[in-house]
Amino acid sequence: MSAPLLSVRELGVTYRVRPGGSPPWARARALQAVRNVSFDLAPAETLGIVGESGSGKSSLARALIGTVPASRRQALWQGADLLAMGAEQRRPLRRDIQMIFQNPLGALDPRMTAGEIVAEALTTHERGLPRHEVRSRAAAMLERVGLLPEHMNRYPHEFSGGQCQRIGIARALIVGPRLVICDEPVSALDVSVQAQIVNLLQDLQRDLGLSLIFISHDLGVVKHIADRIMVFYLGRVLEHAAAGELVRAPRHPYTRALIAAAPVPDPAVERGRQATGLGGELPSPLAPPSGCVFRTRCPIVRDACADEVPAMREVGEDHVAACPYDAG
Amino acid sequence: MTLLRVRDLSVTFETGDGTVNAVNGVDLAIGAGQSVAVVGESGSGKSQIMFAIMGLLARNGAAAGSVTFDGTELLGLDEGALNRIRSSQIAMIFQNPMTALNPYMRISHQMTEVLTLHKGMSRRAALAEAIGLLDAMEVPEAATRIGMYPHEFSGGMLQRVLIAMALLCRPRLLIADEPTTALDATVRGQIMRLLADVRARFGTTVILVTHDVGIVAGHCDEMVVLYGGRVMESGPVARIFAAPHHPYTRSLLDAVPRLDRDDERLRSIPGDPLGTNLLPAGCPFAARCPRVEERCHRERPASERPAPDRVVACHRPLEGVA
Repeated sequence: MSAPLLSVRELGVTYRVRPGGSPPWARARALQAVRNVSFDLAPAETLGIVGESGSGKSSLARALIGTVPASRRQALWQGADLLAMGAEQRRPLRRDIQMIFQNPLGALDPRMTAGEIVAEALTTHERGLPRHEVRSRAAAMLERVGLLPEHMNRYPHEFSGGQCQRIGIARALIVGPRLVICDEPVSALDVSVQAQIVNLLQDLQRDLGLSLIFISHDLGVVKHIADRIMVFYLGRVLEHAAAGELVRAPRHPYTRALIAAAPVPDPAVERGRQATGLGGELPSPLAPPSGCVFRTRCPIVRDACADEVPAMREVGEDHVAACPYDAG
Repeated sequence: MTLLRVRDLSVTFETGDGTVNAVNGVDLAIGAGQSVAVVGESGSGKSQIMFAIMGLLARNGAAAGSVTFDGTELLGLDEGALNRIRSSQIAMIFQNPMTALNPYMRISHQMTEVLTLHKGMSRRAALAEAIGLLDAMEVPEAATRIGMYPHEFSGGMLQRVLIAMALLCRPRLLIADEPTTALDATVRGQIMRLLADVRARFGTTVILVTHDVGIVAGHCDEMVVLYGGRVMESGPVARIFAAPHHPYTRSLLDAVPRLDRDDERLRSIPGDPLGTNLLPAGCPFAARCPRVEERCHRERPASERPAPDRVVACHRPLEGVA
C-alpha cells in the first residue's frame, strides 16, 4: 500500500449525556460512542463502514471532520495530526475532507438555488474568484453529477431526493477534496435511484482519484462500493477485511449474522435459511456489555467473553477479527 | 376464498396545487390465509391503497371504486359499521413503531382499552389477555413490561407490542405497512419471522406493504408490483422472481445490490419515480422503461393474464424465460 492519506490510531469519541427520563440534576454519564478505532486509508481507496444504529459509525465520521471532539491518540492526515489542530489550522484541511449526508433535502439550504449552493462552497475556499468563473465551474460540476444547466436556478424543493443528493455531491466535489466521507448517502433513496447514486460515486471516485469513507447500515451497498470494510458494533470494530473476503469468508460471528440478515432477492435462497437469525436486541450504548460487546447476542458465546475485550486477531491476509473463538 | 377484493380503486387528493392522483384503477384479490406483498417505490400509491381500505385517508382524499371484505363493501360505509370491521376483522401496523402509540399512556392501558371497548371484557381479563399476547410475541417479562411507557422500549420491541395489539381482537386480515423499515438489520429478521409465526398460529391473512423486494422473496406467497398508482404485475412470488413479465419488475429486481453476486456496476433505472400530480395518458413507467415504444406514451396498457395466476399490464412484456 502507498503512504496512507489518513491514518487513525486508537480513536475514541465520548459524549456526556443524561439518560432519557432522568431529572435535570442527575449526573451526566459518559457514552463511549467510538472506542479504540484504528485504520489506514490509502489515496484513491474506498473504506466501507457498516453497522447498525448506535454502532458509532456516524460519530467516527464527525470526529474526522472535527464536529465532535475525539479523544485518545491521533488521526494523521498526510502526517499532520488532525486531532491536535485548532479551528484555524484545520481550515485548509476542510477543503481536502468533504462530507455527503443522509438526508439529501435536509442538507441543502432551502433558500438557495442549486447553483448558489454549489458556488458558495467554492467561494468559501477560493475567495476572490471572478463571478463568471464561479458560475461556469458550478455549472460544469452540476453537469458532471448528472444535472442539467436549467437546474442551476431551481430551489431544493423542486428536486427529487436523488437529484438533491447529486447537488450535495457537487457541493462536496467542487472544492477538489482528496477524501469524501459519505454518511448513509443512499439510505433515504428508492432502490432504483440508490443504484444511480452509488454508480455515480463510483465513477467520480475512479475519475478523480478520490478516497471515500462510505458509511451505511446496508452491507449489500457497502460491499458493492468499498475496497475494504470495517464492521462496527456498539462503538467497536469487530472485523476489518477486503470487501470480497469479508462477505465470502466472514470470521466474526456478528459479521456472519449481518450477512445472514441481509435479504437476497431470490425466493429459493431465502426460503432455505429462514430458521437462522440473531435473537436479542442491541444493548444500550450507555451500558455496553463487559468484555466482548457482542456477547449478549452471540451464538457461540463462552464464559470468558465477559471478562476481557477480545483483541484484534490476524485471521488472514489483511484480515482481522475481534473474536478468539471463530468457527473458521 | 377471496377475503379482500379491490376493484378499480382510485384515490385522489385535492391540494392547493390541484388534484393528486395517488392510486389509479387498482384491482387486487387477496385470498384467505395468503401472505401477499404489495411492492412499490415512493409515490407508487402502496400505502394509500391500504389507507383507503381502512377508511383512513386524509381529509382531502377521496376513494372511488370498490373494496369488499368478506362480501361487505367498505367504501362509503358509515363510521360505526366500519369501526366494527376495523376492530374485529382488519388490523394494521405501521412503519414507525415509535410514533404509533400514545407516549403519555402505559402499554397496559393502550392494549386493554381495545378489549374493554370492542369486546366488553373486564379490565382484569383484558390485562391477562394482553400479557398473554405479549408473551406470544416474545416480549420478555411481559407482565412487568406491560406497565411501562412506549419510550422505555426499543424499536424492535415496540413493533412486537404493536403486532400483539393488532392481534388482540384476532383479526382475519393484518395489514403491515413497512413494518421493518425503521428497524436494524438483525432485528428486521426477528419481526419477519414473528409475522410468519402469527400467520401459522392464528391463520391470519397478511398484506405486507414494502419497498424491499429482498424481504418479499423470503416471506410472501403472492406479490403485487405497483408503479405510479397502478398495478404493473402480480402473481406468485417464486414465479415473478424467476421470470418477471413487466420491465419495471425486472429493473427493480436488478437494482438491488446483492451480497451473493459480484457485479461490477449496479443496474440502476434512469430517471426518478413519478410525481403523482401528473397522470400520464399511457404507461406510468414509459419515461424510464428500457423497452418503451411510441404507443406506451399514448395508450394505457390493459391488464392481461398470460397465465391463470399472473397479471401484467404492459404493451411489450418480457417473455417468460426463466
